[in-house]
Amino acid sequence: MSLIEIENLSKVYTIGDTSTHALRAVSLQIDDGEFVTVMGPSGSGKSTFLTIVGGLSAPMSGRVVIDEIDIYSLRRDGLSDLRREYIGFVFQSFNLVPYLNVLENVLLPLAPTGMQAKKQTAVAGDILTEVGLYEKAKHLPGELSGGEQQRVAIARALINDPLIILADEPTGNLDTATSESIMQLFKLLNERGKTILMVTHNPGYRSYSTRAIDFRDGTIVGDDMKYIPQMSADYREGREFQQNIWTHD
Amino acid sequence: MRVYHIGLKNLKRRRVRTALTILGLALAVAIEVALTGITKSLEYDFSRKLDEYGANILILPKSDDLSLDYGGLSVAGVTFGSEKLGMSDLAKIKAIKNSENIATVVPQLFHAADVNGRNVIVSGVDFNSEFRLKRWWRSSGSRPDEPDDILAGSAAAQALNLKPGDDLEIAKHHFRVAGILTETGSQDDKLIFISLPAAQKVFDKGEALSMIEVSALCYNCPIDSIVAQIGEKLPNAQVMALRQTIETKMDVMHRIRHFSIILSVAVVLFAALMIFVNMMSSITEREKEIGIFRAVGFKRKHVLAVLLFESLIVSLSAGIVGYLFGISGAYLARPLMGLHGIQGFGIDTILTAFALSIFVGVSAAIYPAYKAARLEPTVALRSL
Ligand SMILES: Nc1ncnc2c1ncn2[C@@H]1O[C@H](COP(=O)(O)OP(=O)(O)OP(=O)(O)O)[C@@H](O)[C@H]1O
Ligand SMILES: [Mg+2]
Repeated sequence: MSLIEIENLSKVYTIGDTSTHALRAVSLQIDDGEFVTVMGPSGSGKSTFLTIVGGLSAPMSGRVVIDEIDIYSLRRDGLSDLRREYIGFVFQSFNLVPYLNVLENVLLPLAPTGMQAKKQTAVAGDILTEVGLYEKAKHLPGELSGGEQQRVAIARALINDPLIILADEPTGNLDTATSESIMQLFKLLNERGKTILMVTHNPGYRSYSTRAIDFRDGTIVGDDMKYIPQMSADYREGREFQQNIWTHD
Repeated sequence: MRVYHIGLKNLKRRRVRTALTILGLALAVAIEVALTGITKSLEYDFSRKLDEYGANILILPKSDDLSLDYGGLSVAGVTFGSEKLGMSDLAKIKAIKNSENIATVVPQLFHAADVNGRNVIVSGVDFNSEFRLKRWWRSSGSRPDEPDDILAGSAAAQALNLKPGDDLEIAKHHFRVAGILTETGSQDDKLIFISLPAAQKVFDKGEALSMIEVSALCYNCPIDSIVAQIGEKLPNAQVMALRQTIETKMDVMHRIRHFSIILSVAVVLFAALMIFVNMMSSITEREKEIGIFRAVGFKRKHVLAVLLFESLIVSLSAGIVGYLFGISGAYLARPLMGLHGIQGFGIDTILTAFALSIFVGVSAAIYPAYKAARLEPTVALRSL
């Protein structure tokens, strides 16, 4: 069984008398440790696909199974738990909360968990160091550059140590050099075992990924698999541990 | 970081908006507090004045001999054989448990007498307390202050053809007309008043009394228990509350109170509407942020918690500010209302202020917060 099993996803948006078929029976399997880039023309359904896979909006038909959990069969709060435990989102427009400082933005997913303040700060400190923003922990997002803001967003996506990172054009608002460093960061995360699904318009970024999907008119028209990475034994243990937390929750 | 930290941070960021919302709600609380204080004080003041205005308790000897009609009530014992009320009873009345509610105790002795060949009722009274109790009494001539002074009711004066300065003989004792009462429209018009000691002497009644009128200050006091307490002290007397007098007073009190309640409700509804509108527009502005919360794993209840915590903080602050404004306002308004003190700033007013402010603040926030929590995360995130 793959980490993410996507079966026959369909989504139609209806506004007034016009319906848009954003997704037409899309199926896909993504294994643990893959780095998948998703490309395609504007309006081809990439963002829709990502939000459905991430448990943010329900499909009209089809299933998304993550780690053997049929996510849309979960009760509502279960879906929130799943997002928090399994998925980290990174958006094109960073989506930081403007009145929370860097540290607080990174801690946001932990706020409802009841984790001790000390432990929260320790975990966030490590991650901020990793993305190179430890010094700016007390800054507000408005005081940071675009690249720095996106690093904060990535740090926030990592705080719960999720298995999967979903990124929708994370470099869309950044200049070339900054984009490269962000892509380096994603590559590093993938090498450490994160499964990444990333929408991008830059064909050059395929080289960072292990697999490239092409969308057109709500269907997958290309699937170019380069190689399936091997999971390290350490990582597998870590994953089993996380699974236990999930099933006992 | 906890969920409520987020609410606090947001309130801090939108300082001006937060301050204005607090101020708006505080104003409503202040008006409610001030109105309550002023109303209570007015009621207190008013009822004190009203209570002094005429008796509300009547004490008569127990008797079957109903021979005199006084103000619609039958007064026994004009020709009593066995006196059951006496001067010593006055002290007993003042010694009841609710004695601080007793404003005036007015003893009276009635006796029929032949004056200038006509049969009239002579009433022995304590002129000072009588004038205090019957503030509507006006007289021509002078106020009686000598032991042999007479105050004549208007009808009696007319029938006997009396004017101030006239000499008069009652039961073989000499009296002088000091003043004539202007018409009162009551039984008093037909009476001739002399001082109580003089009446007791000339009619040879010793310490006896025919009736005691009591004026109890009945602001928030149970008239029935005062009646019961007097009845206990005076087992041989018949103690009655003058319901009509009391109910008229209560009616005035209730009108004042109703007016203040209507005004408070209007102000509070207005404040609730203001908070509601404010919250609704703030939710629209915060859609994106709510989408972020949901995307990172907040449940609906966590979004609700953030928003309701914010309104709880606003409400609590408004409760404090409003209470302080309210007392200050009531004190400042004192001279305008002709009041000396302000009543009712006890713990119950504080609690009411907080309860009101939290109820209004939080209940006006519930629907907008609920609406926000129900937003689909993708819809919220799209509003970029
Ligand atoms: N909330 C919505 N309501 C109505 N139509 C929508 C909605 N979201 C997306 N669509 C439509 O669905 C189609 C797919 O949209 P989607 O955002 O998934 O495309 P995309 O591939 O991400 O495009 P882009 O590269 O421009 O981001 C588009 O035609 C879009 O107009
Ligand atoms: Mg898109």
